[in-house]
Amino acid sequence: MNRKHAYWLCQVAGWLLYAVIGIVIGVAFQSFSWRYVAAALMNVAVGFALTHLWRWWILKHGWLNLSLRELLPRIILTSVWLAIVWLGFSMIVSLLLSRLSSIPVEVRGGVALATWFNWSAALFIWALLYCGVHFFENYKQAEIQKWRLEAAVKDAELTALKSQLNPHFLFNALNSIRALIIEDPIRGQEAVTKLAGILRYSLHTGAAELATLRAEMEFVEDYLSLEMIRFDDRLTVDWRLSQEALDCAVPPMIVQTLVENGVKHGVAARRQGGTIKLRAWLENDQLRIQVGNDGRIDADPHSTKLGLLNATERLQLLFGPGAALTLTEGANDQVLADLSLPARTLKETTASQPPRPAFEMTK
Amino acid sequence: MMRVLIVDDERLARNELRRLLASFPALSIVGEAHDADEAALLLISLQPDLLFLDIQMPGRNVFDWLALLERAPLVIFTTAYDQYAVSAFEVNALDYLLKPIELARLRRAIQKVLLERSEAAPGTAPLTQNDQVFVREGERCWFVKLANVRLLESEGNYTRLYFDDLRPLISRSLNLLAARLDPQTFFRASRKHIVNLHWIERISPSVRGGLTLWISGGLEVEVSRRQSQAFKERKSL
Repeated sequence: MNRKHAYWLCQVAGWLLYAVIGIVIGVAFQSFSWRYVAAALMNVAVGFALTHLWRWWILKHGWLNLSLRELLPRIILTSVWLAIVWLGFSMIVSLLLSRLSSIPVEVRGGVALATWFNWSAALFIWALLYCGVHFFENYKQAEIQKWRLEAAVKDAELTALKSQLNPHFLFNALNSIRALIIEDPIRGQEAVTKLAGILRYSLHTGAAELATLRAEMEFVEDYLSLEMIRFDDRLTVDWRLSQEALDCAVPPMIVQTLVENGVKHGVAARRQGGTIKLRAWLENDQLRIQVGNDGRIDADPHSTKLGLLNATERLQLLFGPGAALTLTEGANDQVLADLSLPARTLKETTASQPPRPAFEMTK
Repeated sequence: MMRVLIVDDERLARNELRRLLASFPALSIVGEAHDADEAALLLISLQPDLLFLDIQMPGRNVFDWLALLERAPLVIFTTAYDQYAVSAFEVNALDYLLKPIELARLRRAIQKVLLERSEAAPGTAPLTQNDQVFVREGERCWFVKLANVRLLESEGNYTRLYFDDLRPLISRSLNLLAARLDPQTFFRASRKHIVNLHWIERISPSVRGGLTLWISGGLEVEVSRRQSQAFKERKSL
């Protein structure tokens, strides 16, 4: 049932109830007369019409958005004033009825005053009910809105979590390092240092919205050098990054996500391994980043592409339509992740926004 | 001495495992494989008793690969982090180890294996009830000891195995299995069925002049007339 139906149902039922009660009380205290019933019904019809008009007024002038302190005096004054109008109608109706039935009608001041007071109260209660229901509804809506917002925030947090380090990588790296400590202690130590750098970056960037591409690429370099320990000669990396691109701001872990994806599908899943190609440059005021790996897109039927979906969502949230991420299959068995976002330095982006903790990695 | 084959695509991971296994004199490492295909060749040439098998490797999925083996070797799975695989195998995997592997944890796994293997059979002999097969159906996997298989039922090129309260399909024909299964335990009742003799609860004559075998778990198998004769002779009925 929508709100309009609910209003009509309550309005009709409420006034009918009012009429029945009025007639029953009237009949109980006076003797039954058709004239009295007709007059009571006429009064109720006028009340019905007046309150309906009042509703129109309330909606038109946005009373429902007023605070209680603003609303209450308005309701009281209008009730009193409308009761006078109602009383006027009622008298006219009585006079007409008396003329028709040629029975004289006496209008006594005391009765009129009591009726005026009664009807003011009735109108006041009507308004209280009408506005009360709306307030309750609005409150509920606001509550739902709040829950929705909280859920959305949780979602965003989860997404952020998912874009962090892959535990599979972490444990494999630890396993390789353990073997390396015996085989080549110096390289083992280096690997521990790199792992520390990776952990630091991924922990700190949890709080930051943007990082420089330089910090991100240093992180990716550490990550790839650990994966190179793991995969031996199965993994090679080919870097070509332009200097001015490195000063631009990117959402942290976004290149990492693409590289990790590339390693997973283009190296780990292939017996002969493969090459990860990293490119970054500026083009028409856009920062372009490409991550390429060997293989085909549909080679792995179990892939959910969750990492890519998350990355795309983050880009949309941060940059809107100014950013894009596509995954294409190039010539000679190459998969290319192509990232494009507005070229801005970290300072430019933080100047146009309220200050946020930005993270610059130092080595 | 137990013959061990290490299967892992990462050199350092293999080295690490080799180093850890050095403290177990009951085991001897006979080889290392980089992937499932290499492991398949080494299984035949080296006849290992036990595999340390990494779940994530390039090329073929290890579970599909295991399901294709006629006789599943004893397997300890190793993985860096794969909750799915770990939970899927909770049912009856011999064991799985999380990398980096803890020595105490490895010791427990090996003790388990040593208990298990006292009954293992040599590679080319027929499949006895002490052998196991690896069964995969959809996302679920089992190591099934043939002693627990009560009935094998032909379904075209596939065979349905009845064990515990499960009945998954394996991708081998009943005829192929009939040629490999030890006749001491497994009896060919008809073109459609092979029965594990240890699970027969009751035998009764059937309306067609043959026999009906009642197998525990409420299974009922009709024995063809010719095979009924063979069955009677065998059981000297």
